[in-house]
Amino acid sequence: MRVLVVDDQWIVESAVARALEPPGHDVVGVRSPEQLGALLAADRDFQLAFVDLDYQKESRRSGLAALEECGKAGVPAAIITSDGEQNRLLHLLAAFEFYPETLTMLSKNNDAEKDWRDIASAVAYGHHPNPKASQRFRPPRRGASRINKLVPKAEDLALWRAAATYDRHATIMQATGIKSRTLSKFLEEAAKAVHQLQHDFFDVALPQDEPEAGSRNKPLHVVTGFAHTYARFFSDPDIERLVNEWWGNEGRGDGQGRAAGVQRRRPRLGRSR
Amino acid sequence: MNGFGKRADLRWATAVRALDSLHRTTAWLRCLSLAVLWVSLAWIPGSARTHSVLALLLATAGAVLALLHAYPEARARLEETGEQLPVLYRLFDHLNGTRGRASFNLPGLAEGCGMLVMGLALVGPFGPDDLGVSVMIVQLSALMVFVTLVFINIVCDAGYYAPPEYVKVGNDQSMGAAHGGLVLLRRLIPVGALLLAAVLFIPAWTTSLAAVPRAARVCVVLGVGAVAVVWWSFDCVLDAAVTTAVDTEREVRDEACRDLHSMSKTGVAMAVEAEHSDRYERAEVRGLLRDALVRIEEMRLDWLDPGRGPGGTVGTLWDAVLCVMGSELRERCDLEPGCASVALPSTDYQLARRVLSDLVANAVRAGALTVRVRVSLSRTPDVRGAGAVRIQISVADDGPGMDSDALGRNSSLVVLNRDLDRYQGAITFAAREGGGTRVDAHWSSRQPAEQWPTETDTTEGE
Repeated sequence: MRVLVVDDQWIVESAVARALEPPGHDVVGVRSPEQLGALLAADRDFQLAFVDLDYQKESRRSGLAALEECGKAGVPAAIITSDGEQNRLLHLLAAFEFYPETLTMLSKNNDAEKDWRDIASAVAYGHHPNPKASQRFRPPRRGASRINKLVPKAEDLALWRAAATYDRHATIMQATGIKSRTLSKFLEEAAKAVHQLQHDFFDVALPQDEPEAGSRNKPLHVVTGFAHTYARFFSDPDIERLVNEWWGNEGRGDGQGRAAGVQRRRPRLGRSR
Repeated sequence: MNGFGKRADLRWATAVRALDSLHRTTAWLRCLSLAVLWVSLAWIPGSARTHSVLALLLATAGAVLALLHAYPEARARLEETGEQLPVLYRLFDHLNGTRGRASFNLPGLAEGCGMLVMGLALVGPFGPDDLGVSVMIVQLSALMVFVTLVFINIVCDAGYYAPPEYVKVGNDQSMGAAHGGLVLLRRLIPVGALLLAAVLFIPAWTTSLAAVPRAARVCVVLGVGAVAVVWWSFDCVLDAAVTTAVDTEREVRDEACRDLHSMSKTGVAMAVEAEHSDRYERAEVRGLLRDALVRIEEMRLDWLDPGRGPGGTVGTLWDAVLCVMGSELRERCDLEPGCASVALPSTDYQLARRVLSDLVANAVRAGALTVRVRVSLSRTPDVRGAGAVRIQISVADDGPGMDSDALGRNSSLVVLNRDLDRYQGAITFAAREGGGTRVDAHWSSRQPAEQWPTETDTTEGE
């Protein structure tokens, strides 16, 4: 079985190769989505890919670009992260939203060796590897997904980017050219989505009361703080492309996302060498 | 502190520092406009002179106090010379205490009232008659410059930018947000100033004012609109400066966070995983930890000299490898001249890190007194017949030598050998004539030969 490791750190490739020996899997590593694209253009004969979400200085693109390449080449992919639930949450949610065929996710630093072996074995025998690990990151079959609640329209990404850079109504409006009422509505909706996300994933209590009249800055603080933390996500060109591609400015209706009607593909039977 | 709080604090601190400089400049310009008014008295009738002098006194006192307010060092010098004057201390305490706060202060009040007195009694409704057109135009212009600068000083006060919470940035500390009443007053100032000037100077209250054409009076009055322009411009520049500072800081933090996460945490996590695994030997775990140490050292060097992209030169890697060894051991190691400038793509750079840190550490730990390292590149046809670049790292030492079965036992070299095998490479070692060992690690780069820089110094291999 030929296994791809897409990670900016060679040491991860080495660890995967070590974990998958001695059955004789062929492990090939690339450091970025661009290198992955070049490799798959010449050789698609891989049965599994472990894909990191962030490539540091190796590439400005994220793991979403690598998942795209794997999808095009028909290579089943599993996400590998170091505590991605904490620092790459939105990318993780987007990965399962836009690439629902992604097998699962696993940590690089929590019994990783066993997980790598288990996943490789499961794929080799045509099973779905460890579906529970990724369950909470997958979008619901009905209703809006978490990413969709944060970015209901593609044009909202510009507002998120402005909120990551500026912290006042006036400067955000100046940067995006929208009206005060539109901004206030966006902030209110976005703040609700942020509260819900923080509640679901970080056990942060939901605000008890609706914002009082005159507390106009409260949603602004929530949204700018969140946008600041996930600035890389909102400026990821792949996110812009995917949101435009999947729901654009029309909004995502119930059951409209890729994940809603996905027929989860059986992983191809691995080829042992 | 969240991003919002930090931004508000930075806005206030930047405003305090920027406005210090603005207030100094405007204080001098106000003194200059008052000097023009004082000089203009030489051309007015003697009967009107006392009246005009009295009209100028309060504003002049205010301008001098404002100048003192803008120059803390001048106050310090005056304090030294006037030790016996408690009044001076109280005045200076008052001036010190109002820096960076939106509040009423003595210079502001004196200048504000002085401005009103001048408007009423020097040029406006109660001013002297028959001054002549030239004198009147000069006085009107100088007064409007003074008025505009005073209002600019009032609206551009750092206190209005202070966040509600107590803030300390450097030596500056805030005293909380400005009072709501003052904020409202500030918003009314541009329109209020324009209306006041219009009421005082557009109607022909005196024969002196009537002598100046109405169009000229209107133009001079409209000049007070500069208050709004300066305020708006200052806010724009302040926002841009704060945004730049926050963005820069965020980039630095983000970079540091990502480096810490990826370069340090992943490396150490892999070592921990290896330690838990029953497949790894202690020597391998040591190798992984050494690799992590070199990464951390690289990160430190990178922070001191930023700008390296993916991969890097052998020189930067060599510096990091040496830094994790004791100074005594460092002196034993030497990189051959010319190798430092060899640039390697990311994967090869990371492989070289692992190889170099292992081989050099092994050599010095085995008791070698001199360790000489050479890194060379060669172009060879690869398995598909296309060009490939092979990388060779040679470590030669004068130590007691390695056992001939070193690669046959469980050691970090065995694992390294298996890693290099995936790159069509291997580790070989041989005894040197005259004592010592030479270890060669070589592998094929995955980066096609045509993508290597053309200036890369390679030799043609077989």
